[in-house]
Amino acid sequence: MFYDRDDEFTTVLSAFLRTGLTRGDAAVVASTPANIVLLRDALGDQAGEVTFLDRDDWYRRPTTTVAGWQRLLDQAIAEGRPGVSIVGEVGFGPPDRHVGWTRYESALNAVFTQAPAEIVCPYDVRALPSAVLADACRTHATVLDPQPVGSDRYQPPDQLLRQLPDPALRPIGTPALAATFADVAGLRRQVRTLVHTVGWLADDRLDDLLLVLSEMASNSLRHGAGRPSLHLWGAPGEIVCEIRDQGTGPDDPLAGYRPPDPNMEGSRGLWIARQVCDDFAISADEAGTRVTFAIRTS
Amino acid sequence: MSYHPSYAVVRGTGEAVTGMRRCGTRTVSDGALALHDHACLVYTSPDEHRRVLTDYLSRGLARNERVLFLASPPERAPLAIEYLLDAGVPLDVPLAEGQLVIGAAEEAYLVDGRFDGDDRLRAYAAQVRAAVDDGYLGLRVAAELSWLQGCPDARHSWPGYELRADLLAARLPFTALCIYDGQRWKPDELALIESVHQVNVSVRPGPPLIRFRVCASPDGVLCLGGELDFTHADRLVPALTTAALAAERPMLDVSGLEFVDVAGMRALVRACRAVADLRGLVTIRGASRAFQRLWRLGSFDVATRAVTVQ
Repeated sequence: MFYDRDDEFTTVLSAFLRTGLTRGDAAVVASTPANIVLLRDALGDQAGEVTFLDRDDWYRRPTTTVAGWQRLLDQAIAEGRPGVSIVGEVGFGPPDRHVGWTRYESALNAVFTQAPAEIVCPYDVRALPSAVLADACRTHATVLDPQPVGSDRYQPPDQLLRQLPDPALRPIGTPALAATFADVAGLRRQVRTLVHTVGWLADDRLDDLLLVLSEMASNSLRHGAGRPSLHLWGAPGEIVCEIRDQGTGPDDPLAGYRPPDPNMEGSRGLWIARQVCDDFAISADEAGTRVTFAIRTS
Repeated sequence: MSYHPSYAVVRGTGEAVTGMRRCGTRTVSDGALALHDHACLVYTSPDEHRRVLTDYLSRGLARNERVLFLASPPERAPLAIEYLLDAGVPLDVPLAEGQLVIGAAEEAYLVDGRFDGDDRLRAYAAQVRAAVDDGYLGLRVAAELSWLQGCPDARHSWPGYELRADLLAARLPFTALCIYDGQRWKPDELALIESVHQVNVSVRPGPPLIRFRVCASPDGVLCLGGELDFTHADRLVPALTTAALAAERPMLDVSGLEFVDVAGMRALVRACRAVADLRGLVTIRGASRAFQRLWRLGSFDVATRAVTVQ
């Protein structure tokens, strides 16, 4: 939904939320503090039935947000509700984050395709750059204007995610560690010793680093080709790693965006990596696959 | 099994067995093992076999334990006598009184060519009882396991049996040394075998084959230690499940676990689910911050309502 007036925002969305509440849905709004005030006023007494989330807290990392929605959905179903009505006004943040959030908007179409969730994503035309607004038409099949119309520029998520890869991390300087590896236990030990000795990361983030490193290195050993390698750059409070192999990378561009299957099938490695890392990117070309990720001490 | 009840001598009142069992693996380079130790020896030379076994058997005799050597193949039985005599240990009395007993592993472990772990563990428990009744401090067994090579079924379920033997050793005045011929087993099999013993007696050069361990605590809980990852996690599920079902409490202690990855966690959950199906709620105790974080991030909590993590 594109809007350029506050009253447009409140009229359309309060109606949407009321319809959901009447159906028995759980209703959730993630938006700016100002817009939350507007919606509360418009909803009157019914505002008490709606969960409001400050988007600066809610939109920190794309897959953490997916996990958050999944939790709210599970909770609603556990309460016996038919579904969830969601207003999600993405905080796109600085320009280098835009691609990540556009990928998220696209992935949502696939992730919650079976879920009893109705989601409206408001885009403030006054505040957002044109490129973000244009991409919104690629990531949403339906646009409210204010009546729903089909978007002729919509792209299915597996197509868009392939076309719009994660922005690559470009570490500078000489890596502190550059090594090929054949077993994950040895690699973990090497990195643990190095990072711990130099004191680059707090202990809990070092645990996270070792987990992601191990999962990504395991993927390369199991599914990649050639002899995989690790490059690691370190600075106080920050570690950047790049794992390369000569394989083609994950087949499914949505891998890591879908919440884990409770039946235990499928891998959780990429999902966890995307939850835990401050930056995460997979790129594949003729030379092979590169997984690059950053972990920082917050 | 060839067990000669020649216990004519009544010993003094046996000392109380209060030794604390160290849960978590250690590596010793000789046979210096105490009651409740469950150790494996993967030997790579006859010299190593002789050195460790001489030490292990003679210590048992000196400590007033009943000592049982089970040879495989059976014609190796006289080795124990030869080692001890060469070391100058007098054997007349121990042999005459039934303190030292030599037998064939095939006879002890196989009935009509088949291995039944339940039967074997019951028999060991009865033998420990008999040793104590006869005035010994406990039973000390050295068992050669080459016979397993000819029994694919037993070999498949063996890690689970070893873990159950560990639970027995934790509970009873029992010391066990499981002897593997390093030439006859593949490295990945040896890795798994080492991981289910509380003690390694080995001088094999280089790092341990895997840095994962599981053994029983004195209160009958399976304790996991070291690093659990995809390289061996799947192969551990059957052993863990079998052992967890045999444990006194449906509980796993993970306080010694230094690292676990997604595949390792999935293996734990599979084992816990199988146990929960039969015994109700399973508790995982001693979970580190990293364990709890992975548990939550990977939605293992959602996958397994039958497990509580502490």
